[in-house]
Amino acid sequence: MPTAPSPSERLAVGAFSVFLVGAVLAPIRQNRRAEKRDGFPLSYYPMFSARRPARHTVHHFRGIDSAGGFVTVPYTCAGIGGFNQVRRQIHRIVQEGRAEELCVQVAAEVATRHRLRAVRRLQLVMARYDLDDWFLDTTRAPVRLRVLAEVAVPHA
Amino acid sequence: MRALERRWLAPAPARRLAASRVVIGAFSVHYLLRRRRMLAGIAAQDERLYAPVGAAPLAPRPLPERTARAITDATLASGVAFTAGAGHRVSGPAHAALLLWTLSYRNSWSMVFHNDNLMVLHVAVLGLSRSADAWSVDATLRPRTARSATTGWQYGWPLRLMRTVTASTYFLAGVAKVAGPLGWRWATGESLRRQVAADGVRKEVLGKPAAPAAYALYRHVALFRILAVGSLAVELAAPAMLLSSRLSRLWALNAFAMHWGTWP
Repeated sequence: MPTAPSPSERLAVGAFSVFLVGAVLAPIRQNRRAEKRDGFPLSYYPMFSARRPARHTVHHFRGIDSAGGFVTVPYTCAGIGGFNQVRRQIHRIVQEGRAEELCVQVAAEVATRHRLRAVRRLQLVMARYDLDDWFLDTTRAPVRLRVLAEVAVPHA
Repeated sequence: MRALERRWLAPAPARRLAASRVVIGAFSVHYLLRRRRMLAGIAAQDERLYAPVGAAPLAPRPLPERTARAITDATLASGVAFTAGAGHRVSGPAHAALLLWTLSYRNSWSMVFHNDNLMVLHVAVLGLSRSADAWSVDATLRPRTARSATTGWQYGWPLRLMRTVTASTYFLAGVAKVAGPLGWRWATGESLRRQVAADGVRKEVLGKPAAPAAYALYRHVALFRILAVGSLAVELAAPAMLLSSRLSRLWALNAFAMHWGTWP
């Protein structure tokens, strides 16, 4: 036969429940702020809410082989925290004006990758891609590209 | 208020709560095991990228790699004990605290992963409640005379709290969309379509193949409109699932479909 909770048990369960639900809902205030701040594990869940233009800008690396051809350099050369974290880190480092420094670090990593042995030079670029071109016309060329840093790959 | 209290503290089977502990605990262990190497390795990253969130501000500077590895392993060990219901009075709160720490630290390197949030919150509720009174090492070792009731008020409220927390997070995600720069125009689906496309472009240029579905579906604008309207409905209507178990099940099915449909 189930027993009923005592008054102190009711109070403890009630307080914990109200506290947790209140804490989870509290970040809703961020929506009204000009400078929004996300947190963990209490978030206002801003993913997917931003306005997305028809052209998307992304910072990425590209290798150049001895014939002048471009080689895709995987994000894993720049960090180990997973795709989205590394992408954000690249963006942040560029914003901090450390593109050259990052390019040197990644070039050193590229030099250790057997699959990238053909890469002679490495560029960190800021490229803008037209989403319709990319997905409907399969035109992969950026509509705008700026080389932020370029270094030689220090192959042994 | 009395009615709400009665409903919140209504009895439930101990096994129902125990099943949640086993499933969510096993998931947390699997999640950590798959990321064990990365979780230890992120400590070796550029210190300037460290921006502590959650519990991580307790360590204003990145931890030494060896310490990060030890904490990850301790989190894994506590997760195994939590899932098995062994020493739950200690392993429950310990796993909740260690998981909060480990994933706060993981999210402190320039990117907050929102998919970790509910797992941390659910483990906290399960770790601090009597979720190991059934289907656990503790219950097996307890003398038969000292075993807990199979049904009681202690086993219902944690499930209701997890459900309320889940509904709240989805509701917040819906509010963020309509409170964002697009407002209700988010429901046209254009923003969702471009989000999926931008994600595909990023992946391709950063050396990770985009989902083939992104290419197949991009031209179908109407499909993204349906997905956007469906997503908003699931998110903003999430609190309604708290009204009945039947609505909860219906909502869960729709939420599953939403995640499946928007998985990049």
